[in-house]
Amino acid sequence: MNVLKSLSILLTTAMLTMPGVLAAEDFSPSERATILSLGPWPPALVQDSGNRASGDLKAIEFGKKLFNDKRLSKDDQVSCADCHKPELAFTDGMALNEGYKKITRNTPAVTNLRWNNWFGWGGEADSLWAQSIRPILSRNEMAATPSGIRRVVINDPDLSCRFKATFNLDPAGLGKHELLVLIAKALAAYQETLVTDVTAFDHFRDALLAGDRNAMSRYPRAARRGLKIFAGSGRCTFCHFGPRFSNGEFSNIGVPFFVAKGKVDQGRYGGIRTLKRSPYNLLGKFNDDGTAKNTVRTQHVTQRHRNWGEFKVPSLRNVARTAPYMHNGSVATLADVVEFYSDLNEERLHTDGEKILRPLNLTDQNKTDLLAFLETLSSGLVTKPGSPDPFRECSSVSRQ
Amino acid sequence: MKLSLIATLTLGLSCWAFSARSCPIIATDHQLTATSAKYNLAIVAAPLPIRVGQAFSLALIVCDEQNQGFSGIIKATARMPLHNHGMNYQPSATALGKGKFVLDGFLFHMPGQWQFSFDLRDGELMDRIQIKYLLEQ
Repeated sequence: MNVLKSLSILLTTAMLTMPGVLAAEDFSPSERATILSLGPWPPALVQDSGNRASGDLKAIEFGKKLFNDKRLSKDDQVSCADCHKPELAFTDGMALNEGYKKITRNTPAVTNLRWNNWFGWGGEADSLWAQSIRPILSRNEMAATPSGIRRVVINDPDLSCRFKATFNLDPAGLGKHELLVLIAKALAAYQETLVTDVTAFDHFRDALLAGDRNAMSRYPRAARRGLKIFAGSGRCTFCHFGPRFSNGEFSNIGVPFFVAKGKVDQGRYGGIRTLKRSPYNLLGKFNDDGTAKNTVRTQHVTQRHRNWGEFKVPSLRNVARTAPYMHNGSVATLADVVEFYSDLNEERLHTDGEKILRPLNLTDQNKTDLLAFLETLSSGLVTKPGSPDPFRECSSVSRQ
Repeated sequence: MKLSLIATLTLGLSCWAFSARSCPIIATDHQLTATSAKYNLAIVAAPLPIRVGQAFSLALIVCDEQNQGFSGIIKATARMPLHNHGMNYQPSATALGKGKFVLDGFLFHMPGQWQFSFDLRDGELMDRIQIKYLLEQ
């Protein structure tokens, strides 16, 4: 009996010290709690109360068509999908793109947006549908006008039919702003469905929760060490919090915000001003939530001096697939991002800014590990089974 | 006059409504309380629990030393002293009478140690009451 007991202890010890076998005890209770707070993924997809088209099958299909339609731009030059390319994780792979003029901000991925409350690097929009209007009307991006969009929809029998089928409204009977908002709501309905799938990290996190050592052992050791830095000494989760790896707010991390000689990107400071002036914000007449419960943030956000140089904390899901990085695309690779935080330039931070940022002073091994962890946050999109064409009534119109 | 008192308490919040009675404050398991030389203050948050990144409101009651409801002006905020930053939102206060208020627009965007701060202005007098709150992740 004693022999069996000794053998059992020996085997257990050997298993725990074997490469690739992970022990929950490797994380402190605080780190463990932090890791568990990064899931589960994905969260429940709740309908956007401010968007009557949210979750509607026809609106989703209509929005997908619009997302790929170049006619939403001036002179039919660019579609949403030209900058948010599906094959590049819905980014463009460029530091700074050009629509009709040079753009001063990096193109963000349009995945996992349903759980955001602010949109754009400066949070210029408080809903996904309002954010969908912004690039369409931006002179630098798609450079369209509300009246131009209205003309496109009304004059195209197929688009017009799909619009009617989606909203049960005749587009010709709508004003240009009303029609533009509904187009944007269909675009938002489609973008809400762009949800990234579970990742190697999510499997590890779920295994940690379940105490499933076998499943945990499949997570690379380097990634686990990187995760320990991320959730512990690196203090990354103050901002990259929760299942989306973002607290959804804004921070100044010392990335320069000069865009040209004498011109600065005001970041969140300018974003709040744009938001407050926008006729499409949730305090306006286009919000479909009659209870106005979705307006709390917009009502109470205030512009402060410290908002200068603050930019949206980006989600880290799919981060390895969305280079280059930072609001201006100034950091080329994920390894460079790790280097950026290791040698963080405190001189660039506001004197009245956060005190949580400090150089991480990582060793080469730390950097490799952190990178290994970040690379486990990638996945494709959640795919759904195909459904019958919801616009069969428009097929005869399309053929005309 | 500016008085300051910090109360460090652990929250076990699970209900929204205060007692129908206003002053004096009745102790419950679900509220945070603090006092200054002149006032007693209690808050209850909703929805519960407070979560990172989710907006919440406070039901607040303030009573003076004679157990009369505070009828002045309240300005509230919260900050993370160790991080040197506040919230990104400015809560609004609605007076309900008899020392009761509803404060909307709180949102804690990080886990960690927060500090509520309530400025109570009654004519020329100003009192500040602060309450620490640890937001777990």
